[in-house]
Amino acid sequence: MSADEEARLIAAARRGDSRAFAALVDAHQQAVRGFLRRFTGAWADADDIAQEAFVTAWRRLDRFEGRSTFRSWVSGIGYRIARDARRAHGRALKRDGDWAESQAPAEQAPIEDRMALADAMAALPEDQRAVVALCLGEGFSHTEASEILNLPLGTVKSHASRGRERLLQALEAKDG
Amino acid sequence: MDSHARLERALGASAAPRRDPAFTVAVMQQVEERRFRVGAVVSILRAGGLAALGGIGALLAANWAGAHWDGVQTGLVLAAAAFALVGFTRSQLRSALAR
Repeated sequence: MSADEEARLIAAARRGDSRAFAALVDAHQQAVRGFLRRFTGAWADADDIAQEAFVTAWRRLDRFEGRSTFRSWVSGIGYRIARDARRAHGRALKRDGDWAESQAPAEQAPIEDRMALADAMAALPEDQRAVVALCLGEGFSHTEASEILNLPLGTVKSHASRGRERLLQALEAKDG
Repeated sequence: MDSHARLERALGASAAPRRDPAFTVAVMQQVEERRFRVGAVVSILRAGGLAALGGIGALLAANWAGAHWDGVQTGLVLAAAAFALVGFTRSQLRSALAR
């Protein structure tokens, strides 16, 4: 979706056009859900949080200033909801193993790799996991991740690099 | 396959589908429910406000009528006389037209 098209849809949604908002949800759900799935490690919880993030975005659309992209803004809302949910419950969101189900593309990674990756992701510190989920998982730029997570750009770059190393080590350790 | 490629594939396993109408519909249902709830609350508040204003107005009018009862009586008599006069005139006009 082009920036102009997105701006037009946002303006229409602000005027109460729910079809325009549905088009925005349709265009950005993949990135937001993908990020939250990797961040929480639980697909069902992640999708619920993504829904809540989009509904919150609809409610607060007047506050969207356009300094970031729409998908970054909604991802930020989703990140804060997920983080607050973890803190409120005082525990990590339950990992339900949904990731192993068959919703992923057929040419997916071997299950051993996916399990090793899920364990390694769960072991990463919260900020680092969020950066890895955004930048390595969904292809967000470091600048976007910095805006979403409210972290300095240097910290994001360092988290991405170290997080990648730790995930690679986890995959290699599984072989050894 | 090297470790980097394996990592890419393993990360890709958690990708959400590119198109998922069911998800979009679920979001829009929540949006519409919330909008309906907000609309209902606004309507209730508006109706409550109007009812409160009406009640206050009636109380003020009753209070004023108690303090100015003579004037109210005169007004009522005059209004009744005006209604009677208008009614009488209309009935006379109707019967004249019917002839």
